[in-house]
Amino acid sequence: MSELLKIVAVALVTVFAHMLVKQAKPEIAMIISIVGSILIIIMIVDAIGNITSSFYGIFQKTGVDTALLTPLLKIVAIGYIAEFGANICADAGASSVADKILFAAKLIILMISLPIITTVIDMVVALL
Amino acid sequence: MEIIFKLAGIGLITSIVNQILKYCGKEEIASITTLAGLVVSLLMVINLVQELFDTVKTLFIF
Repeated sequence: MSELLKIVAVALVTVFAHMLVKQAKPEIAMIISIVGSILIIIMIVDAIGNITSSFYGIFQKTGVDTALLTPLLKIVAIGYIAEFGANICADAGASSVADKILFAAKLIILMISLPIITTVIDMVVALL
Repeated sequence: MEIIFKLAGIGLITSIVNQILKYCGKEEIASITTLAGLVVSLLMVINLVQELFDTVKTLFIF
């Protein structure tokens, strides 16, 4: 709960600095918003670490092999980074560039999940 | 946290120096100072972006 307050505080300061510098230097205001979002992520990064390690624990307990988990985590990471870049481009006004990033990220995610899809189809075919 | 204030300071200082140089009639130096301010703030951001990508890589076990 307390880190949420810290995060909101950092976000507010970033927005104020962004507004302050916007009339004088819009480029540096853009950079300030990027830095602010990175700071917020770095503040919350250890929570993500706990989540992934507890996922590993759950997977080991249920006996599902962890080989399935790594592509899953990779897809989550790709989704996050693509969304991070797309939002920055959308902030700067280049929404077409943001859509290109999202489009490429979708293709990469599909590429990563292809082996899993093929294994599932093989299993189904073997059952029939 | 203090990096935000540093960047805001750089932005304001470059714009003030810009106005002064324009007032004294030195437009070309004014544009160069804008570029300098931009480059300095970009350098500061690059380390943060690199740190972010490293943490994401280690976290999601790339």
